[in-house]
Amino acid sequence: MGKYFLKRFAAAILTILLIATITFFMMHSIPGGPFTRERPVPDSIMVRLNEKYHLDDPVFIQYLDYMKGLVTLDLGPSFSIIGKDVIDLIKGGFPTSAKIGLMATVLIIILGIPFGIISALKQNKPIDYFVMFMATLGVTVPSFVIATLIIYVFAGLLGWLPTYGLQNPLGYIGPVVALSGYSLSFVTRLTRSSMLEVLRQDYIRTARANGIKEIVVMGKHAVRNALIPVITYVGPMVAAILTGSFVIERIFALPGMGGYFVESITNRDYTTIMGITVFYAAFYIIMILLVDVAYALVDPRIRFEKGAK
Amino acid sequence: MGKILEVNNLKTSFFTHLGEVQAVRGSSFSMNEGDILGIVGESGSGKSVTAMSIINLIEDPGKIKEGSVIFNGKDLTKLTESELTEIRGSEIAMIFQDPMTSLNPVFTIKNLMTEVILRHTDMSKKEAIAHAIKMLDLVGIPHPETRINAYPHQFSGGMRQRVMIATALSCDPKLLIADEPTTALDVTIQAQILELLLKLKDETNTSIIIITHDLGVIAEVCTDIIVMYGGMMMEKGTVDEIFYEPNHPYTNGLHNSVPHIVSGKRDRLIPIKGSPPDLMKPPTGCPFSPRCPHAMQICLEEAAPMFKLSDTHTSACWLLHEDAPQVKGYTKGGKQDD
Amino acid sequence: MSSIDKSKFKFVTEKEKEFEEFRPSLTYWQDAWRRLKKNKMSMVGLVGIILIILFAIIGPLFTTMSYSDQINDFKNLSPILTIYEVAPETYVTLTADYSLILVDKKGNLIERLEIFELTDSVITSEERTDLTKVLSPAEQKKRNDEAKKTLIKAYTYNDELIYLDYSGAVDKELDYKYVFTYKGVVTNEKFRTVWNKKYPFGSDNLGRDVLTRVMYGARISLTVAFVASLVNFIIGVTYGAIAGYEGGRVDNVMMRIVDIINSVPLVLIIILLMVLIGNQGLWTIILAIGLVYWVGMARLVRGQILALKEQEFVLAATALGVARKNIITRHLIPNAMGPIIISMTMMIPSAVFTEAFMSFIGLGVSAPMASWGTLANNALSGILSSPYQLFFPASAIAITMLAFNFLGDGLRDALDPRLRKG
Ligand SMILES: Nc1ncnc2c1ncn2[C@@H]1O[C@H](COP(=O)(O)OP(=O)(O)OP(=O)(O)O)[C@@H](O)[C@H]1O
Ligand SMILES: [Mg+2]
Repeated sequence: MGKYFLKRFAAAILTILLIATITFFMMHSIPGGPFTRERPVPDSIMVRLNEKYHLDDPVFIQYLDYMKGLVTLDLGPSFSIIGKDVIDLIKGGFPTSAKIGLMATVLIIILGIPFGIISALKQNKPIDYFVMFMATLGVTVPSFVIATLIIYVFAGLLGWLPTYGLQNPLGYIGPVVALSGYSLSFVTRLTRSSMLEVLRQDYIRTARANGIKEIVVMGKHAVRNALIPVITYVGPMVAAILTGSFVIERIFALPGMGGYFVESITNRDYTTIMGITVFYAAFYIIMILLVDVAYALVDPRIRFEKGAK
Repeated sequence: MGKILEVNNLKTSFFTHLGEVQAVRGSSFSMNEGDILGIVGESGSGKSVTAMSIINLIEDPGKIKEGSVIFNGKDLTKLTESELTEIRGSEIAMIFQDPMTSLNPVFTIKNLMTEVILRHTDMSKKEAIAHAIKMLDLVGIPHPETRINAYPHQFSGGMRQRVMIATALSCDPKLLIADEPTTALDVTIQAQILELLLKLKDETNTSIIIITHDLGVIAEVCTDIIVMYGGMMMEKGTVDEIFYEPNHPYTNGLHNSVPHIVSGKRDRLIPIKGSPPDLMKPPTGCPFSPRCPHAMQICLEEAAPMFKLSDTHTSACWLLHEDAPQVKGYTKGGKQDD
Repeated sequence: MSSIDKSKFKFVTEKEKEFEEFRPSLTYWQDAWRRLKKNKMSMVGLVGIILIILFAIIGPLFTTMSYSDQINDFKNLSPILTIYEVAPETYVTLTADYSLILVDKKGNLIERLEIFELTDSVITSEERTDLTKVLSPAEQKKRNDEAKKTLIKAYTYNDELIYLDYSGAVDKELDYKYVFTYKGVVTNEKFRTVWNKKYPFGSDNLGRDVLTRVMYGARISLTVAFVASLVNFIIGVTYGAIAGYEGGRVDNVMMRIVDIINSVPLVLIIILLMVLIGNQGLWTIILAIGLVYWVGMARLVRGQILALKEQEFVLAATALGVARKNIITRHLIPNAMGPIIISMTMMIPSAVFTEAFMSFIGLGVSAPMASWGTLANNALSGILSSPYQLFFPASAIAITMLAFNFLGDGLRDALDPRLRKG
């Protein structure tokens, strides 16, 4: 088993380096990008850019320098925010984004899975219809619409929540709900259908035929199996929360990474785009790796098959 | 030897959104202690539904519409769910067709087996584990002390079926229902599993119902046989009666469509023409009539009653009626049994 | 024993037995269609999709304005107009940003009244700056309670001034109300509310018709979604079919590439691509989405092909010496079509979503063209005063998503061979 994870870990590191490489060459080919001399940035940034990227060196040397920078977490100066390094932006924004993202993840798990299970157990009953109706709405309404609705109704009309910022703890509610909406709905639907699928399985029939109490059949035999496909969704979920945070942070004016990222896109702040992209990709890949570990813990088939080698 | 099981006029249907599927349409039979009853029939003839109806484990949208299942003097169709769970797995145990999917993949064999033992006995956890190991040993699993910690996917199909049998027998059931226990296994393993069932039966004096569509399986191990078709019982008798004096065209069809070793000579295989009836709209008459080579007008209109040919042998075929034309091989004039 | 008519014991011929009704045997597609038709939700989805497409294609033919026509007089007009009668036969309506529009009795827009620059002597209280700021209704109410009798603005009409203030609530202690004073006559009761006939969905902050823009937005959003799905289909099916059919080394390498692409959030790749290509109109986003989302399709097709490859009919075709290309196109892909169609149906709404998202973060089509996402984005700043500007494009997105999801769910049930019987 340990060998399997070592292999996966090595693959993850390789993928991150590969993505960094691809990003480097993409950025290199952009006219007006960080690696060209003709571009409209203030002199002070230009000096630092040259310092950082040695624009007169051959491409390959530049590439090595850039990769060296990555390893030491030096992502260069921002293009548009004078005097700021990209890594400072990340350091400044990531805690906020992570806090919101983590809260959303917890919300998704503690609501989505029980709702899905209840819905499956009460299939075709009113509560099932209600849960599924909400879940369908959740995957069909974009997160920025949910966010704006929250602002309009709960901050504007009712005045219960602040319209922006996190100074007030209530300020977390809007962003977290908006951020988790889509994935919460998705997890609910996935849990429900996975649960229904599991309930049709032969081993459930076996457990019942062995006189196991229904509550144990559900709680022990069904739920554990039903969660296996749900775990596979964690990857896409992390991605959805990451990208969702781009707009949510902007709408609620939160000082997170997503907000910086969107701003950097609007301002064509190439170094920041590049830095945050690589950071996001690395973060995502590491999350997926962790999910794989969790997966193997739940499903012995994977643990043994892959561990055998 | 007393009666252990008596099924009377059992009717089970599935109420799907497309309509009512009448999976079992009035089965009656009884079993004595120590009997091995075989239920044969084509796929979809209602064998599994009959079995599940016996332990009253018909899942939504299914329902036992009519009839009674008297086991040990109790009508199982009238018991509450919690009374039933006490009986399932302890007094009546069941094993299923596909051992590959019938064991929960995320738990160890130990976990699965002790769960059942602890549920139905007063054993401590330690005793339960020891008992499980003993049962595994009994069904021929090598090194049961270590293998008990394995997960189902680490066993082969035959081994998994042995685990299923060990689990099923771990609480000393009076009745074991084996729904196609060997269908998913290859031939040599099939023989081993059947042998094992017979051996265990001798040791524990459990009554067994074996469900199969393989006449060969039945011939080897059963004492009595029920032939089912289209949710109805066609013919019922001892092994010898069903094999040497079959008295229903469907039973005959079954014999002709499998290689015959039991009867000594090898006939040409004759498949039964047509396909089984749609249980959503079952034929009004005999379900087999559309495919029957001897179908008569009455067969299309009315299902035949059970004609009694001997104390143990009954057959639901109008050819046995005294007014019916004589057809070679069919004993006419049996008593109508109702 | 009951007696039975002897004639009944007569053999019947094969023909007579045929009275039994046999189910007509249906082809896979006929069967799927029959099952789909039975599913009410998916039929609702299908009709919804057709209506949305019609809305996009022929809708703009019926409007008099184009998506870029701006009428400066009529900005931020809500779809529902509240009309006040300030003088006999003289009707006005107020917009969210305090423009006063002259209307007729039925609510047809006539013209915007000039704002009269108020001098300090006319203002009774409150500073002007506060008045122009749009506040949330809750904040607004608080403000109003503090200064009940507050003059907001004055407008010129027929050389006289129409004054607008909040004094309506003073004596009744109710919510604030607008009060108009024209030639000394005070009007505080609204005359009626009517639908805005000129702008059924209201107008935006540049005086453009939201309905027309939503219809043109539908064209753009749907074009992006359909073309991107098509690109995704072509790349995905080709890639997956080759990987699945070739198997072995080729398959290994091809799937590793897919794994790598998949190990990054796809939206991130799309953003990078868009930044790289630069924003060059509709095609950029179509290309970016189409070039990225195929990985799911490729995986699916490969899986299908791998499973089908082992089946007898393919082995037979191979044995008969049918060319490889023909085996893929004639035998394998048609048999894998069910899952492919389901995946396409789900791909379209997710492309709509992605496009909206891209537009929202400023990487969408450029002005004055607008997709639903752009419209939603533009509406954001005025959300508290003109929520309808968000409501319509957002509803369009949601309805499209719902329709495709319903249809997709139905297709999944109808095309899933595991469920196929009876
Ligand atoms: N859950 C269900 N819902 C609807 N119909 C069902 C259900 N379970 C069984 N049936 C129907 O009941 C009929 C009898 O099924 P049953 O499983 O008893 O057949 P069987 O004789 O055991 O066949 P096999 O040899 O394939 O196991 C079939 O027509 C089947 O379609
Ligand atoms: Mg069966």
